[in-house]
Amino acid sequence: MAQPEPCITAENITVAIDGHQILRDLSFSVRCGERVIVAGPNGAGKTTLLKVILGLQRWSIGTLWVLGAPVGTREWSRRRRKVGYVNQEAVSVDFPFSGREVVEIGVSALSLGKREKKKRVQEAIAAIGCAHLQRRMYARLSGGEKQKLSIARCLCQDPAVLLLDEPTSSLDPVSRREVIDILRGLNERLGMTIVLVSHDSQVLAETTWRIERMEAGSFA
Amino acid sequence: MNIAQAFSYPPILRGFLALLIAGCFFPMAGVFILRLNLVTLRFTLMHAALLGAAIGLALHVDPLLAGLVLDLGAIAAIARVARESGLTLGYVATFFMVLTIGLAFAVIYKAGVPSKDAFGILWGSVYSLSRVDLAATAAYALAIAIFVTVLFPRVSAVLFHREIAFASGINEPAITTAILLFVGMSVALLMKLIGALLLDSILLLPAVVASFTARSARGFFVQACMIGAFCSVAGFFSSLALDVPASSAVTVIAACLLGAGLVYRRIARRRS
Repeated sequence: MAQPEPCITAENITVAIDGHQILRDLSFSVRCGERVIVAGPNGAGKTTLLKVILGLQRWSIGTLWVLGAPVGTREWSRRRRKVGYVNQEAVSVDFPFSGREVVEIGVSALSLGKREKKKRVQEAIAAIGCAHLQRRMYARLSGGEKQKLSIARCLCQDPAVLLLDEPTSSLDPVSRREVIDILRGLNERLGMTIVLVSHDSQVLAETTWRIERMEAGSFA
Repeated sequence: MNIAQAFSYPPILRGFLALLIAGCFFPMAGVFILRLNLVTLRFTLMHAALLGAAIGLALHVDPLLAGLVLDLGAIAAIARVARESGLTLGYVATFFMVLTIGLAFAVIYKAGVPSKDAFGILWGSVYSLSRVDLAATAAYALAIAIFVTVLFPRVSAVLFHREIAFASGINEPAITTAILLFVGMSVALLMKLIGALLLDSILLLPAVVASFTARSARGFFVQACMIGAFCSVAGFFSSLALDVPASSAVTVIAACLLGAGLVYRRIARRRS
């Protein structure tokens, strides 16, 4: 059987911020449908790597392809909606968003009719099992509940790749288990590529995913 | 003088209509200011308007128009510098706030502009509005209402988290720049309407009060606008009844509502 195509290919990426090299000559490849954990201590450059893949952080040297398109090009701009992103900590907002409104962000940029968008939101909420959080105020939810809504938000985008930055760092063991199980399910049922950044030793111990260790801006 | 008599005077009718329109729609910009922490930006725009007025008076151009142009220029520059430098909008706005006030005083001194005339841009009056001013207020109100309602999902995504909005495929830089422009326009128009020192009563206070009671982003915008409309209308009629300036009546009512909102929040927190 042929190997699946690479979903993310980074070659010799270097990122420098204020004169400090955050990523050094980093090369990295993830095949479609893979589950990868990028592990490493704080300051290793894990979050920067995700931001580079998302196009949120510029790099000075190297090439980066995501879903077959060079990042930063017009072609990539069209495909970047297929990359979902759950950030480090559940966003803390002193603003009255409802749970449903947070999930709706996932469909906000899609060229779909109102009915189709509503259906996508409903399906994503049902898939993650967070229907009971729809009407509650986001700011008053627990870290685990917020992360579930974040994953539902990404699901609405119908992503091919899901990037998660320390999604379990502030969660209790039960919530952490739930989030990992949800991610495993998404990968197994939908073939979604998952790249999870974590320094949580429990996550590393509990999963059998491919683990890449980062240290001082490159892979060890 | 009864209400019907008062409305028979075009300046009073125009003032009422402008206050009503501003109260109904301008608090949307207040929601932007609150969420994106743009309070510093609001002061920067006042200073930029003062610089514009000074330049306008020096060049014999309408100071309000020159102030508006400087405000929009400052917004564009702040958005660009913040994006290119990676600094927060607050830091960049602080830089422009200091720069513009320094330049304003330099222009006033060098061009021999009467400072009283330049500072006149900071004082507004609802009764001095022309038909053009009223039309501009209405057109702007329509523009911000369309922006928020038609693009609500994208606007709320940017208000939620700018990086997540970008990652969701939204043209975040364009939405953020539009938000900043709407804030700039609101400040410029409200300076003419009720003055720079009192514009928070229509711009910011309704949004602050709504933040205590709203339970969704949609509700936040709707409630802020309803509270703004109430402050404007109640303030206007109070000013006629008590013979006090309309802008101060609006401000006192908005401040009272804020006080009531704080009490409500305290009670709600105790119960929960």
